[in-house]
Amino acid sequence: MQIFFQNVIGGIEAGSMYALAALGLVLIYRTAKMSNFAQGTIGMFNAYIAYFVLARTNLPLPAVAILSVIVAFVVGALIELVIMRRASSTIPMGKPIMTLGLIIIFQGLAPMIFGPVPFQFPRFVQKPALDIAGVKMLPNTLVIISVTIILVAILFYVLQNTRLGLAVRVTAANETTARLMGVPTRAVSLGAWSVATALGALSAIMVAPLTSVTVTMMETIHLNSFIAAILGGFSTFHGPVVGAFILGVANNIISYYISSKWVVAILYTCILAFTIFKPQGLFGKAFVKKV
Amino acid sequence: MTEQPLLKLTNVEASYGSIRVLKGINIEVPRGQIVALLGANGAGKTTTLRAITGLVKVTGGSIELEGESITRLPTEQVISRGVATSPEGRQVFAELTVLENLKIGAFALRDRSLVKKNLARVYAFFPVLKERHKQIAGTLSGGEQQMLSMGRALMASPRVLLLDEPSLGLAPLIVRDIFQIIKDLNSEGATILIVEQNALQTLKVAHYAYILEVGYLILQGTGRELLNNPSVKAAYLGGHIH
Amino acid sequence: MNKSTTFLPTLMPMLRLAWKKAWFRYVSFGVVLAALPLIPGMTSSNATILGSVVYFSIAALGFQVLLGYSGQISLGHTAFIGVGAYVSGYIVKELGLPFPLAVLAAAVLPFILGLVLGLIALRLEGYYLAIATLGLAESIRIVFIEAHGFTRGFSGFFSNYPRVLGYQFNKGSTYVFMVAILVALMILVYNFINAATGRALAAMRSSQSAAQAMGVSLFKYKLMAFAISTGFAGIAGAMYMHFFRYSDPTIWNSGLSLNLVVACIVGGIASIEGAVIGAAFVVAMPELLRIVPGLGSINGASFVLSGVVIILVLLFYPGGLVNVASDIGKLRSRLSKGSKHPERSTEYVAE
Ligand SMILES: Nc1ncnc2c1ncn2[C@@H]1O[C@H](COP(=O)(O)OP(=O)(O)O)[C@@H](O)[C@H]1O
Ligand SMILES: [Mg+2]
Repeated sequence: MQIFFQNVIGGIEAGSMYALAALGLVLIYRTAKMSNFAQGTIGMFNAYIAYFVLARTNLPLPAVAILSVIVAFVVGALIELVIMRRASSTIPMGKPIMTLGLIIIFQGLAPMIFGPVPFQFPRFVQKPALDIAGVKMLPNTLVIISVTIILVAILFYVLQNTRLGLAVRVTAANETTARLMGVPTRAVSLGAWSVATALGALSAIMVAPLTSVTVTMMETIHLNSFIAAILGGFSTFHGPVVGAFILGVANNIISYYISSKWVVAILYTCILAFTIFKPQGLFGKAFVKKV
Repeated sequence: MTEQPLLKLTNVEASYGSIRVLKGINIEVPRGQIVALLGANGAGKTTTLRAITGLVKVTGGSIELEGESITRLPTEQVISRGVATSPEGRQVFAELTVLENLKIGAFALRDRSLVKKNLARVYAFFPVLKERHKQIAGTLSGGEQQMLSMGRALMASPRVLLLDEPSLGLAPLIVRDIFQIIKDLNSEGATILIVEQNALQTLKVAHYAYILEVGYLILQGTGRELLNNPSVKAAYLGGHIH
Repeated sequence: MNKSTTFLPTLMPMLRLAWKKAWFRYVSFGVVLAALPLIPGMTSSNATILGSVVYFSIAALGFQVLLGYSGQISLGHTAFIGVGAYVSGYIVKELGLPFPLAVLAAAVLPFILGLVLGLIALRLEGYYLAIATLGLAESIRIVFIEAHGFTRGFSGFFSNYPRVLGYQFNKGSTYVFMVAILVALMILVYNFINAATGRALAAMRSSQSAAQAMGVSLFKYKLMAFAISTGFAGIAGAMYMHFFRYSDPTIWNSGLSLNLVVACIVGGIASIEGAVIGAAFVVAMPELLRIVPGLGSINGASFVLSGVVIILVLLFYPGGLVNVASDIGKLRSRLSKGSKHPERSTEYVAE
């Protein structure tokens, strides 16, 4: 039973990173009506920058983390302003394909600038593991999970209870009508790009100490955040978050009890099979418009 | 008309890509009046409203609101200057509650007390919206959704209200209610530009009306004039006269 | 009057007429492509690059049917190429079965995989196919690494040039064979997109809403396009395996999938020639950059550049490189019209 809980906690920790990234994906998907395939790669690039700032200055880790999230926020805005906004008349699928172009650029740049050697990123909290009824938990894990929960709670509060959140939700629901209500929908997608990129960067900073800083460090997280969004459903903001935690825990359980080699294949096949029966995802609903 | 019209369209042209949809439209909406824009499906009525609100690019002519040009302004700015729309097909936000829908209607307003006042006024006009303020808008009936769509537009304290086919797809009894509401709104001072296919009902409430045919205005006159015009009778009122 | 002056005027109109036929253009193109290694001074490594272009063109051609004509994205196509490579290698090397059968299997297996995955993923809206293919590719990559008996894992799978009916191919003849396959597939795709199916796909790409009205058939066409693209990927893999005679899991990485997107966009979306031009761009650019002083030593410069190019093309030249020749022609005729020297037209009259 202790081992089981150990796996669950590990799953929640991984799920936290998927959740932040998935929230970023769904924000852009709903407001800008496109998929940002480059979110993970940009996060990776940010982790490199964070590593170097940390190595070359005396700034404490939390300050560096916040700094790099701010940088990502600006980078997201720039991508929207410089590229996406100008691409309104490109071919269908042009915008998501441009994010593939961004992947190529950042994946190529990273080893050029930072070199091919992986870097070891320090944990937020260095203290040794706590022992809770036989279940070991690093204080760092606790930090990751709490930061995620707090952030997700704040974001949902804003979405659900503020004027800004309402603007985001109506832009997501129907952009044209939102504009007719006076909502500056372009500013909303600009904001969504910024917040999403920042979330992706935060996710990368959280994973960095657990793996190491490499070009491919975000590949699994990025793919899993997409799959979490599919599992939870792209049509709500909370679905992908819940999907992320389910995915994280399921991943650990299958890996431990069934096969660590084939866990990815098993998990993806299960989720693919799940979408046969519930194409809208766990929380997705197809609203029938009344005439 | 000696007084300056509230909303004035002069030779307005608009296209979708290479297809010219509006080929020079002149419309005047005087303050406090109901002006109707009638025409068959595809004539360009919705496009005219979209041109006013900046959702479609105006390629020629000008649009003025109380003498100030709003031609080619971004939609948000047109809205914040006091143009509110109840769009074709109502377009309520189905996943949001009735109250949230009304709140978003007042998005352009900064003054909170004004928002409160408007909400009270909308509730007074549409008591059903008050009863159902927590209900998800997608679950309202068609007539209720139309009321919500109009109420949402009213939340912005608009100087002019644009209604796009408010009677579309509603049962005759409900249609009568909707037109009564339009009349009541107007008698409380609202200036309304209404687009309709239901010519008979519309001409009964409209002070003035224009008839649009594939991008051109072909006829205009007071509601009564058009009601009695033989060609209007033949083309637009045929099936409706009992 | 010598012979050639009487011969040419009769030949030219015939050629011009034939040029209008797509198959004639593609076959001529194939003849030129096949003859390229014969150019004096062509090194063996250049011939290898040409082989790369041809194999990648086959995959890009299939990808064009998917991206260009049905407007869907796959991010895991490299896995299907890999499957084609391993399957063909295994059938010839381990099972001792004939090469043509191996190519067939290398096409059919990914085709079926594509059908099954498409049946599930294409029913979902948005970019599910992109994610589903990415997920599948990740799973298949693990198979490549772990299924040692089939792929040899990281030790790599070695194979030989093809042998057909007792004839042993060498590097040169394998190359010619690949060109022949490419030309045949170009003609096949041309016929596919000019048949009803392709027209439906084109309509679908330009107006989703109009196509929505087509309901079920829309799904059928998307599925067809996807399965064709995976089948072509498999054939490309078989070609790779028997031209390069080696495969290991690191070759089938996600960067290769992205390069397929680059090829189709940069070459020219929804264009058969564009797929080939794009493939040549993707394969040849790193080699060309190597010559550029300064840039050549930087690892990954070409990768970064192709990322920049794809964004620039989408922003400023969405038709892709395939339009360059005709656009330059247009520009020149506009310039010559603009300049008030009607020399060109008088020249034509004089002829
Ligand atoms: N988004 C669009 N793209 C292209 N053509 C359009 C679009 N919207 C409307 N049209 C065309 O413009 C014309 C006028 O449409 P519309 O203004 O909606 O007519 P109405 O509201 O009078 O029924 C129609 O021929 C219609 O097909
Ligand atoms: Mg209309």
